[in-house]
Amino acid sequence: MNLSKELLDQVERFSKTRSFSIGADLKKELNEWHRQAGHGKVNLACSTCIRNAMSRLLKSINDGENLNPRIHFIGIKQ
Amino acid sequence: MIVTAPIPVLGRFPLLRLTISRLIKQGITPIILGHENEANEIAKEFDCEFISISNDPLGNKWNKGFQASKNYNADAVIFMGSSDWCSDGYIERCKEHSKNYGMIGMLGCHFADVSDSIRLVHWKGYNNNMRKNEPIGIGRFLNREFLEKINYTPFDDRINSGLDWSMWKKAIKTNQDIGILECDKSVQLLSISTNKWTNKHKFNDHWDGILKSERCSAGILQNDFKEIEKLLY
Repeated sequence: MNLSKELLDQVERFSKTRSFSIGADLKKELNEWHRQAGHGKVNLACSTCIRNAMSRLLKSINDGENLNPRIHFIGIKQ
Repeated sequence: MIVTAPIPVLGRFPLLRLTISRLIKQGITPIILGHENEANEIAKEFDCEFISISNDPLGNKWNKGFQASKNYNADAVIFMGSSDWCSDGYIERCKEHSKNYGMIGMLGCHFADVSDSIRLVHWKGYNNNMRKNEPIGIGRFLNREFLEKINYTPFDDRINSGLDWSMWKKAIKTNQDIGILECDKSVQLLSISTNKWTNKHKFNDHWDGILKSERCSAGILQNDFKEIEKLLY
């Protein structure tokens, strides 16, 4: 899974300071991650929900889920 | 090379027959998982193992199939549903490269919808940033080394959805090399839906352009998937 550097920076900031600042685009990206990770949709109008989603993302990263997959393409591109 | 295919079943028996028959012809050993008498009868008909198990939760149902593969001393297990078909070329390429990759898959597949005619679309797979380059679930080919690392349990036992993601997370966490096949037209995956049975393919969303897919001529199925015509009304 590929998260933007901007969102990862904010996760790191959250990890160190327990605060973060994300705009509409990063909220959308966070929501997308949250959905794909099986946690459901985030209510983007609710700051507690966003904070909870950030906590889940931080936990997931700490658990090693954000390692870069080792992808190899095999064969002739169509 | 021994390859098994756990096939969870819930209805769709005419399609199941075709799917099993194809797998056997391709040298793959199907393992049928289900709770319906008809599924058990079909397993007997094709001389396949039948594991009696409830449909819910799906993660557990699939895991049981993967775990049963240990008894076959399988070198690899292919992840396919009862409505999914792969071409002979796909199996050959997977077998050829399986030693080097914990998981092999493709980025897209065809979806066919069968009623009185066949409609076909090509879906390019997960195209959002987060799941870029993640192979689609259908046809994922897991080798023995990866399976042993995860104790033949690719899914969270409790889930009913998000199976592809659950398996993907395990592949990443165990640092697997992932192979993506991008070969010629002989390497294809197909998933079949029809309004004869309930399905989750959202075919009409693909057909109507709500999901990003390209409409294709059904003629291209003639080479590798011609049995599909048996499903026409």
